[in-house]
Amino acid sequence: MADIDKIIQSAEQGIAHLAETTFTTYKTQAIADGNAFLQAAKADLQNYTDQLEQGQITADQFRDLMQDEGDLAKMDALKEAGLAHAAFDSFINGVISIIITAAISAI
Amino acid sequence: MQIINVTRTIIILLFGILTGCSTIATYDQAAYANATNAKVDTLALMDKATGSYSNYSKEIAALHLELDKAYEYDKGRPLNHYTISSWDVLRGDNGILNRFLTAWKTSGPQSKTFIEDKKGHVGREFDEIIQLESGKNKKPQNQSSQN
Repeated sequence: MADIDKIIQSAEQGIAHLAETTFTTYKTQAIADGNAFLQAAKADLQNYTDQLEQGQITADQFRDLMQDEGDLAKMDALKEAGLAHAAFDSFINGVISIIITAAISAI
Repeated sequence: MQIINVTRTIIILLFGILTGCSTIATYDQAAYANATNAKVDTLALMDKATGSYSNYSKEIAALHLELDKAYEYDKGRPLNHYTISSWDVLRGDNGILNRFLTAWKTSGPQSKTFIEDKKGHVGREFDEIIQLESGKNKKPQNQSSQN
């Protein structure tokens, strides 16, 4: 079985280096985001690394599966943003309802 | 007394206007059904990838049509850009599903392990769309279909 902790450690170093060479202002945030992405993909990474090691998938298929993680993160972010809007709408409508009730009962 | 009635009317109208101003589309049963049906059909088709792509070209074309219909339905709904963007990712030429179909077409039958892995990813993509739809606010009984 592949040593996932060693892989994660190596990836974290790579993320830090990439952030340092890509960003100046947002470097710290970029490292945090990169590591959060890595942690979210950790279970899949472990699973696919094992499959690759055991010859169940090819190196190309492994790359393909890891490439999927980017799309999955995008989809999750879109869902969360959409649900936040729905929650906002619901809250604001509740606030307006409270204001209207308060105003009408005061007249 | 008349002033009070006018004030109440204005407040009620204002309430109606404000509650009609949503930032995202409300829940739509047809959109939910489109996404869940497309998920089931897509995953069932992916199971066939242990066989030859050419044997399933009609089913693949039918699936693309089903996905296009689901997308177009959602595209026609105002304030629905998060769902539309999600469909764009799922249906993208270089997206998870289309890369799988391309690999099947160009490299031939796929291994059971790889198919299961990809089905997991494609299923998660559909789940994001389905969960977003089911998490949208239900339309109030007296609200028009503007959202």
